[in-house]
Amino acid sequence: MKSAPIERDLRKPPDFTVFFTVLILAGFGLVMVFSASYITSLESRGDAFFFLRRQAFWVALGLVGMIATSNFSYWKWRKMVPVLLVLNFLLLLVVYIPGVGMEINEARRWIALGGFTIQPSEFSKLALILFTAAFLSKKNLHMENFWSSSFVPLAMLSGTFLLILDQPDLGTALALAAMVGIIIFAAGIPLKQMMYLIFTSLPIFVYLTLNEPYRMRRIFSFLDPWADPLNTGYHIIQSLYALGPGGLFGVGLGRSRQKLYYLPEPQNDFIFAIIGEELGFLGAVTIMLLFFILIWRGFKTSLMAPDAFGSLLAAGVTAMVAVQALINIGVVTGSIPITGINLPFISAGGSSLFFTMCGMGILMNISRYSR
Amino acid sequence: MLKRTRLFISVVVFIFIVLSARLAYLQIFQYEHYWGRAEKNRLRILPITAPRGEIFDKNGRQLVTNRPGFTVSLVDLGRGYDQETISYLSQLLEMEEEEITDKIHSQFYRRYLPIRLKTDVSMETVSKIAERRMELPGVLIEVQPIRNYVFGNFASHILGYMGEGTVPDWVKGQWKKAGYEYQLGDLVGQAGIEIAWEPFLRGEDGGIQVEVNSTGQAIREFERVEPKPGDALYLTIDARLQQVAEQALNEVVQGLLNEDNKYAGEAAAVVLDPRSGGILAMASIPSYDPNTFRLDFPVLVKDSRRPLVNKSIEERYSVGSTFKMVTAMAALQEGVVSKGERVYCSGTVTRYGATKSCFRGTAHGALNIFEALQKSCNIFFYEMGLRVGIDTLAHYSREFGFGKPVGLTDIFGEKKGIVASREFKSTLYRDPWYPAETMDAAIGQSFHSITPLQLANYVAMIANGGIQYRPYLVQKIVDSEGSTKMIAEPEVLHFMEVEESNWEIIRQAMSLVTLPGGTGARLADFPIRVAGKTGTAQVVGRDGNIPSHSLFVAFAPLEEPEIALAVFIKHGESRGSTSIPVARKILEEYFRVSEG
Repeated sequence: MKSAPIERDLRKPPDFTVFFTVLILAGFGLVMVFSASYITSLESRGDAFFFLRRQAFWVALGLVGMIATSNFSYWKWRKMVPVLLVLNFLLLLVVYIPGVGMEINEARRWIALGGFTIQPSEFSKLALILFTAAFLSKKNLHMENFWSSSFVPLAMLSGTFLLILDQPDLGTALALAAMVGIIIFAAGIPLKQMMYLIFTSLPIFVYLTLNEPYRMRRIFSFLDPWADPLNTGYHIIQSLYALGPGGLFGVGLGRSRQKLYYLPEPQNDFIFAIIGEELGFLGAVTIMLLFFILIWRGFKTSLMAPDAFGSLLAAGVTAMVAVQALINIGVVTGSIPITGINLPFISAGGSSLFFTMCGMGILMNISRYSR
Repeated sequence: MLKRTRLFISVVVFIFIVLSARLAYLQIFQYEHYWGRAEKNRLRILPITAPRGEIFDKNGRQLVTNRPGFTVSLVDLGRGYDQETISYLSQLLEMEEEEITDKIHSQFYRRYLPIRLKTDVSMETVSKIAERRMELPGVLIEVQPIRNYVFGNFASHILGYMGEGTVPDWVKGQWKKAGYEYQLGDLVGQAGIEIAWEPFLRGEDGGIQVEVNSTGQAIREFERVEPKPGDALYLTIDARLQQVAEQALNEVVQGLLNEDNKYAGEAAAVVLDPRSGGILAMASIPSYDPNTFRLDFPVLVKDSRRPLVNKSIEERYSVGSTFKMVTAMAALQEGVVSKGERVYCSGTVTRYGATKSCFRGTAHGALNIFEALQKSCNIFFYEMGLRVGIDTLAHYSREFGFGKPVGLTDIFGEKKGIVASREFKSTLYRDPWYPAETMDAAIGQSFHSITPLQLANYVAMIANGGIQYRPYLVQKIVDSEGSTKMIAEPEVLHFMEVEESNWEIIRQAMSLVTLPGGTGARLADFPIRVAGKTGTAQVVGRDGNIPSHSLFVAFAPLEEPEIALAVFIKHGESRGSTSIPVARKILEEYFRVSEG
């Protein structure tokens, strides 16, 4: 198959709703990262703008990435999939090299790159989504035959999963599994196989939970954070102390009290709590609505995609945003256990922001070929 | 595929609705509940200050300990601070209201910690607050260890004092290297051992995490982390020797002041172990009481004799005739004089157009190097100075540790002093170096200026045959569990290589000083052979007749020296040396020789 499925001149304008929604979310992220971090950053680094400047840099880089991928015909990714997959494993292994891999708080998740740190597991998400979508959209593939279809991406997922689990970063590993699972489901895996999969992976999940005592405590602490308010329940309590007093309208932009050392690193995973505190229920729901619009447009693109690859890829990158946003908001509101997943586009973060924005660029490109 | 994607959308919509409902529940229906909880019942950390490491002398005598003291603190109750409470506290604690609000503001971003308003308040204050407890929401009495300097005004320049004052950045840097990161408002050492050894002495604070109710009382204790006391320091100082030195200097200085000597008032004495560099005593007059430092401070800073300055290391003075061993060593080692050669002293000499005389114009007759040192003959040493020249003289001065810090790092602030040399003169004047100045330099006048510690180190080098040890004060560090963390080993910084026989000549000559006929003959009856050298450093003043500084250096016993000392009394010449009696008292204490 040499020729492209669609000729270039058939392209339509991309889905600008996606573009502007991402822009609004990222812009909003800049404001909130600054609001959440400037005081602690001023005290600990003597520079109130430290996180703002870093976030601005990554938003700019993400924009470049998003515009580039939105102009890059999506089916060309198919050829690059093997390279991306190899790169995925290589980057995850580089973390183990002393001097290059960086250890923070006993976790090896980062690669130091000239003043910046890159989290390879963020790249893994995009790489595995591309691979799974490409593999399962091959011609002459029979989803009924598990070993020649769904098994292959699941095997790649397992390898990546184990490497990320070893960092250790269970939250990201599980989120990754959810993204790949959604693509496999969308590709039409027979329900019977799906059931088998769920029932075989359940014991693994239980084992992972019980294996590390801290994880079990963490997992159950959200049910009653006040049972251990200074350790496992601390983040959730402080998060609820931010959201609750926020009320309907919030205490006002920049006026959060919980960011003042009560909630550690307020610009990261718990930024949604600060949004809820400063901008209230209305502000928080607005953010959720923006995410919903994005997810809605993503699935619409998937439904309207011209070919199976485009459809699965669109579903995959949409799942990437949806899974993370929903998990994050779930954690912050004390609805699910703490997992350490950040809020896409808004939480302070470098590589995560960049790769998510690239994913949105891919989505925009697929939307140009909508039926 | 279509069906399945639609299913996703429904699932996502469902989760969004659930999460929005959860948010609405938390933020709208539970708003009052969480507002109340967040504002009124907050978790607070009540720090438990670690007891600071104690300081002992070389024989294990306690010099610095801790005693319990009461601190008045304010706890944030989440609704600001009540003006009435602040005015009441301002009266009770004798603080300006502004001072209190400043303290509150300075801790604005750490509101979970109590704000310490005043440490070490009286029992009376404590009971007044306790009586009105219900009317004073957020006011807390904490028990904190307070530093106790057992002997009061004693070794204060070595020990230092505590305070909240500013700390220079380079000190913060040193602390950081040793593992302690300074936070604004920390109570830290401000001088001496207390500042230099801060990271070891301070220990690790503990804390209790508590939930406080609306009056600031702890209602539930969650976790308690016990503090880890700081390390104990054992010094090389012998407290009794230190006390004797301080007392002797104080008596002499008081005597001078009583004679209406308006220039007197400052003095210092340093006693070293020439076998290790350990400092056995280091006295500086005037001094202060670290216990009452904060109260005395306004008086101390105004005192023109600068009690806060450690005269032993932070001040440099003219060296006078105690310098003559440098000239003697230069001449001997360079081979320009033999131990038998005699130089004739007629009381005055005119060289290079300058007429210079011996002390008080005394004519000593023909002298060899032994007699010249014994009688401190200037004419002999002018000649020696001219024979070796200023450059060689400056070289030997530096070899003896002058012109640069001798390396005491256990306390900060050592000055480097000045060696008279062409280079130094050229920084001040355009004129070249004149030979007449070499003559002055040879007898310890000219630009030479030294710290008493440098002087003691120089005598120690004569006593031990040229080894310059790093002077040190901390002998041993013992942690709070009783295990020894560090034992100081003598550290050789420099070895001055000269003929052993030349050391012998100088030591013999110095031993003649304390015999009848020598300038230090007042020590002739001392039961142990002492080698010494006197010095009277003339000071040129505007009103002419200023008393000279009185200096005396010594080591003993002559054969196997155990101590080396230097005594300096500013403007202390008064009918003879005032420094010799001080040296004698120190020697008596060290060798346990009873007076009389």
